[in-house]
Amino acid sequence: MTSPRVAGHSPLVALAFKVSEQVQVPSDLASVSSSDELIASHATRVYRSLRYLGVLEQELSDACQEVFLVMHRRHGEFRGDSKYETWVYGICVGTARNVRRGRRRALARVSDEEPEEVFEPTFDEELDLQRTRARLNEALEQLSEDQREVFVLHEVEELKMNEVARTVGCPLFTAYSRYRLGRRKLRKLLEPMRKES
Amino acid sequence: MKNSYRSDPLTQSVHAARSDVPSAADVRRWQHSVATLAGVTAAPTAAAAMSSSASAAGTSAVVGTSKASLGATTSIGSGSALGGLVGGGAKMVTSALVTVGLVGGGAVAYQVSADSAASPRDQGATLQSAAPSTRLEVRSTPQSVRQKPAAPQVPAAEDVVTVDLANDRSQVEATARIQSAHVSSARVKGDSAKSTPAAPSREYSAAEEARVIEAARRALATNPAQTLSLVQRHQQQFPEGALGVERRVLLIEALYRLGRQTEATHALETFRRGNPNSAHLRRLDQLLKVGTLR
Repeated sequence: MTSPRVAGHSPLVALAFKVSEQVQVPSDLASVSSSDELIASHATRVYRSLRYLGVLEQELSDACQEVFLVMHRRHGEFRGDSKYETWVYGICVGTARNVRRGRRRALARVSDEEPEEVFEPTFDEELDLQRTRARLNEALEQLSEDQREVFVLHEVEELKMNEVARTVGCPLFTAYSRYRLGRRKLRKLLEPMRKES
Repeated sequence: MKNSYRSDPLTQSVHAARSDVPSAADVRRWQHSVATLAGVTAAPTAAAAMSSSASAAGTSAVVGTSKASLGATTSIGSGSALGGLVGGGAKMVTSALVTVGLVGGGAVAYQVSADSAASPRDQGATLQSAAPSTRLEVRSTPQSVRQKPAAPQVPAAEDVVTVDLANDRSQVEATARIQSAHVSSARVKGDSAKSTPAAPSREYSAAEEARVIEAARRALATNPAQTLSLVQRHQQQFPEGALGVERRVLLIEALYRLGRQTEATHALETFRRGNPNSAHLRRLDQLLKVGTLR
């Protein structure tokens, strides 16, 4: 580092790569080669939570990809003070909020046309399942954003309530209260299903 | 089984939701697009990190800045470097020292000409005398900088731009190439690495090489046949180019995407023999395995 002529820059450049490579080694999740595994192990979590947090079918694939990219990019920010899953859910919640808000803006500009639901039934039971899911999603639309997030994370994703509170960023008591209210509302909304069947 | 929760619509809905999983095809698509997108930006990451260390007065905060400024897709290198710094205990100190050393060193390095005539031995000596903290780290690194090119190790600097040191070039030359390749690929993409001085062009054009590989990568998702032809072009044009490993990886992926399983597997095995420690192997193995199951 003394004379500008001595080194050329290659060793330092090489060293920079060595360092970045070396630091990658302990945090296995960060390396590109394992990003596939990372995605595979979180795919269901990400897909499902986004879907029930109000991301529409046609937005879902892109939104999932966005979450994975964010996971990839911000991996270094994961401090290990919560479970990795909880951290991932945090990203999902944030992404879902963004998607919903973006859509609300877009809809306000254009029209309030309802996106058509597309079913691709394979057999009756599958169709049944899809209908049930769609209906749950409709009902979830009636909840407030806060209630929806808490309900989905606790019931569908089966997070413990303290993890839910941490993920959405509210006190534990508040999370319980949102959950109770949301659940009561959903029950009422889904009651007609009982009569049908 | 279904009847057990039929009676309660809410429970029934929740169960239906829990069983809602993405298709295997979706997962594969995400894996691929993330690998591609992350790959595309990883090269400028390195280049931009270099440029900021060249321009700014150095503390490890510089690395943080370069990371933040890279809004785009990924910053594996610096991102996980920070992660490592946070988690690392004693190692943290060493890494921090290296970071500072590098930043300072980078500044010097960019002021000198790209002439890398100094012998590897001289450079090793320079490293030792110039940056003792750096040397400490080098020693603990499995594939150290001072390693002789005779050992056919392929360190994956970033996953994207990997360098084939197995070529019988001197390591100095090879690393100079990595760097120029990084710089040029950043330019190709119009990235913010404008302050970075480009390595002077020789008869070998790193920019051109990076462009070919980059185009091949871009085509992979939509038009693997084109990837294949670009890979072949690269092979003719830069038979011993710095991005040889990248070319071989793209070849395997393109063959796989074209449904040419046998050839892909064959190419993978050839690649494995030449690069037994490549960071690509795990992903490629998985890719081909998944493909076979399908």
